Parts: sequence; structure tokens; C-alpha cells
Amino acid sequence: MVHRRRFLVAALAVILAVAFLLDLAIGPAGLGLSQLTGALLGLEGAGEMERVILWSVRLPQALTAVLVGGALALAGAEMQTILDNPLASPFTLGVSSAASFGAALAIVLGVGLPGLPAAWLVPVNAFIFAFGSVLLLQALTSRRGAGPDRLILFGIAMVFTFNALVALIQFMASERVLQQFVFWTMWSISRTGWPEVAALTAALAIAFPAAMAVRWQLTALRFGEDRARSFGVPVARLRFMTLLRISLLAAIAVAFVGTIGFIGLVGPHIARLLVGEDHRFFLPASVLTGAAVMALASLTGKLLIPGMVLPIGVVTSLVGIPVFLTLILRRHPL
Amino acid sequence: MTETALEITGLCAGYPRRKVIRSLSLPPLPAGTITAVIGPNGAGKTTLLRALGGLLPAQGEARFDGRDLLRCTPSDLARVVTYMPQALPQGVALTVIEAVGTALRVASSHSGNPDAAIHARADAILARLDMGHLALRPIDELSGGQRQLVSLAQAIVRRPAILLLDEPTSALDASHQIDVMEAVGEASANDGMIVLAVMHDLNLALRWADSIVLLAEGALITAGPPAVAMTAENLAAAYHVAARIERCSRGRLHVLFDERVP
Repeated sequence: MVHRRRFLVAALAVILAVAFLLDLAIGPAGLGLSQLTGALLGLEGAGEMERVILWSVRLPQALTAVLVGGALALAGAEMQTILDNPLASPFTLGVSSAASFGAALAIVLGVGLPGLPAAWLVPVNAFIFAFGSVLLLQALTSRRGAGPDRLILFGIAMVFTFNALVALIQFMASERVLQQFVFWTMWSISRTGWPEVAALTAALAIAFPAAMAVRWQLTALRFGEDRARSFGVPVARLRFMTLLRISLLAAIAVAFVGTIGFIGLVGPHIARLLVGEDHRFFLPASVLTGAAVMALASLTGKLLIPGMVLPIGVVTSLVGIPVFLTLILRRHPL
Repeated sequence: MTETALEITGLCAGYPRRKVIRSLSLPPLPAGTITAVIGPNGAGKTTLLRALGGLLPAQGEARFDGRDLLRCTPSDLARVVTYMPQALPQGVALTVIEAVGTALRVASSHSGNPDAAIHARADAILARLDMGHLALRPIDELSGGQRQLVSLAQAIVRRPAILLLDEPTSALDASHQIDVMEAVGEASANDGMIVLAVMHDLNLALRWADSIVLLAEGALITAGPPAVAMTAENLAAAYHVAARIERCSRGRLHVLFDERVP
């Protein structure tokens, strides 16, 4: 059983690698494989244009896609475990709504941390609000024990509150600014570069090992809070630290690339179907699945309409959700 | 193996707005014995177990091995006490062996037990419960009774000094009830566990328990050896039913209920 699960995780890594390379190789510029390889390895014959396209556009964008996919899927997997709810994702708790509100404040009203470069105003604002929403959630739920039901109810309240506030700001915005905000909310990696890749890598480098360190505690939590506590799991602390990781991952992902809720849901679901919920395998499988799905979505976005790159969030929803429903219905027929 | 007894004195436990158990004191519960906690619904049986398991706030004293369990840190308490709730939750994508192994690994992340040792212990427990053939089955595919056995295996495999079982036989057929109680008895005798088990089947309690704790409305009606504690008067006081305690052809005590009494 353990060997089979290790094999499946390794297979997911291979699928991710193939999807990433295909995403890297295909794009509207129509570069050939040899040109790309030359640019990648810095060979003599590689032209300046190929190098710029690869190093400044395709590589950071392809990396952003897999890192965002991995981050959102890890956040979703951990959230589904601590809330004991397979429908939970970073967006159930209003993290993305809070981030959207932060972005709206920056884009429409120009409100943000003083002294920041203009390019960082929107992501930093989105991050601050996403992170703040999780802290607020934690403060509210820890007043009398942090049960999963209460967390989800507060999360739903947060979603509606921040959505209403965003709608209010949109109502007040001029047409030009409104257009800019709508573009931000449509998931797109076309505006990402190396700084975003570095920030996302750092977030995953912190959150993933920290999650793996408590893999047995998270697995034990699947048997219910009472049983986990009886096994010696410090449930309240585990839940708080997990929420912090979720907020870090979701906030950074949302801050740089806008809102997308699907990956945080589907990554863990596919991983669960493949390797079960032993978190030794479930957590890495979720990360790899989320990353691979995002790479494939990015690739599909380039292939669907030749010469045009569709926003990746649209692709993940249009293509991914039917695939996801098929998986669910095959396992649990209606 | 430990020879220490559990001594519960003046225990009060419940919820912020409702005290369920009021000043409960019990005779010492020695190592290697099974105590059946019985009583009607709402008597405070589960509350007693949850309080001892550190899952509910409680006042009073529960002394064991020189320590008051009610004042232990959660991690210290987990080394001594394991609480088994009534049922495993649904929708957990783990196999039987993973479920049992997890109960050990959560603790062994501190003690550094190797994988092979954990597997061997989990396998041995499953074999003892006659579940070895189900080791690789997902727990969601098991029957209610089999799931209850997995739940018990998770508790026993930890070899706690004090094992708290909440209705360990409630979903089981007669054959599995005997399997479970034999396994609990064996674990208690071999490892010196103090077992407190909430039981609704009074005949099972009479047969397997070394002592009985009879509760009603959060208070103690009686505590002692089954033949002494399980009397028609005590059962009438707790359950408001007329009962007879009679010996069968094998000489075992059995409870027979007749009718409700006011």
C-alpha cells in the first residue's frame, strides 16, 4: 500500500514535469523546441528575442502557474482537513473576498501602505486583507472553542461582507478604474514575473515543510476532534497554525494573480481519490495535482484559440469542473 | 505494566451552563480491571469519560500514579489516558492499517518508533481482533461493527494505562460483542490497563466487568463488584424499572427487566 502510494506521488510528479515543459514550450510566439532549448541553456545560436521570451515571459509565467496551483491546493487540502469538510477551500473562509477588497481599495481608491512602489500596492494590499481576515476569523472562533461549523459560518459571513464592500467600491468607481479592477479579478498570469515567483516559492518553502511536520496530527484529526485530542494532538494550536499557513499561501497566490477557487478544491479531491488521506502522501499529492492542473490549464488556455491566451481562471473553470464532476460521480453515483 | 489505581474524588464536570456530574467519588479502580459505567440516558456516563479524558473541563481530583489527571497538560494526559468515542466518523479515506498506525504514530513522532515496529504492533492488534484480513480495506467500506473494532484497535494499540471506552459494543452483533470484550479483557489483564467502559447492555457488564459504577442524573447510585452493585433496588432507583437478577444454568448472573415503576 505504501509503495503504491509512493509510486502514485512519483507519477504525479512526472505528470507535473511534462505539463510544465509543454506549458513552457508552447506559446503565441511560435518558438521551436530547438530555439527554446538554446535559449534555456544559453547556447551560442540562441537569439536575443528567444532569450527574452523564455526568461522574461514564459519561464516566470509557467513557474507562477505551478506554484500558485501547488499553493492553493496545499491550502485547500489543509483546510478540508481542519474543517472536516471536503467542500472547504481557501475561498470558503472569505480569504479571496478579503483579498479582492484589499485590491479594490488600492486600485479604485489608491489606499495602501505608504512608501510602497506602485507595482506592489495591489498585491500587498490584497495580502494584508487576506491575512487579516484569517486573524479575525481566528479571534472570533477562539472565543469559545474553534469548532469547524463555527469557522465555516464565520467564513461565509466574511465572504458576504467583503463581497458587499467590493460591490460598494465598484459602484463608486469610474469606468476606467472599474475596468482595471475587473481585469485584476480575472485570473491571469500574464502580469507575473520573477519577483512573484520568488515570493510564491518562499511561501511554499515555508508552508509545505511546516505542514509535513504535522502530517500525523493532521491525519489523526480526520478521526474527529475528541479522538485526536485523546491521541495527544493539540487541536486548537494545530488549527491555528494551519490557518496561518493557509492564509499565507492563499493570500500570496490571490495577491499576485487574482481570485480562483477551483484549484483549492479540485487538487485535494483528486489527490484524495488517488492516495487517500494519509497526509504523508495526501499533502504532496495535493500540491503536485494542483500544480499539474494549473500547468495544464495554462497550456489549454494557449491552445484553445490559436494566437490568443485565455485567462487561466476561465480555463480551469470551463475544463476542470466537468473533469472534477466526472471524477466525483464515478466514485459516488447519484 | 502499572499497579497503580485510579482514585476519583469530588469530580464535577459538565458544560458552562449545565453541570452534569456533581461531586462524584468512586472507590479506587485498580490496574488490570474493567469497570462498567452504567445508568440511564443522561446519567452523565459519557461526561465522566470525557472529563477523565481531558475533553471537558472538570473540578475535583482524579489521582493516578501520584498525579492529578484533571490538572495534567494535554500531552501528559495523552500518554496515560486514551478515550474512544462511540463511532469512527464517516468519509475518512484511510485503510484499516493506516487508521490503527496513525493512532500510534501521533505519539511516536516524539519517541521515534521506526515504521516496522509500528506496523508490527498494529498488525498484532488487528490479528487479536480477528481483523488481519481487513488491514488493507478502506475503513469507509467496512460495516458498522467492523468500524467499531477499528476504533477499539486504535485505542488498544496505544497501550494506555487508562482506557476509556464509550459504548464499545453498541453496534456489534453477539459474536463481535464477545470478541471485543475478550480483547478488552486481555488488554486489561496483560498490560494492566484500567478500563472504564460505558455500557448499555447490563448483561455484558455483569459478565465482563470487575466492578460496576451506576449513575443517575449525574450522581452515584452505587459502585462495587457486579454481584453487589447490580441489585433490583439499585436498578429501580436508576432506571425506574422493576428488574430481577437471576443466575442462569451456568451460574452466571443475568438481569431481566419486567416493567416500569413510578
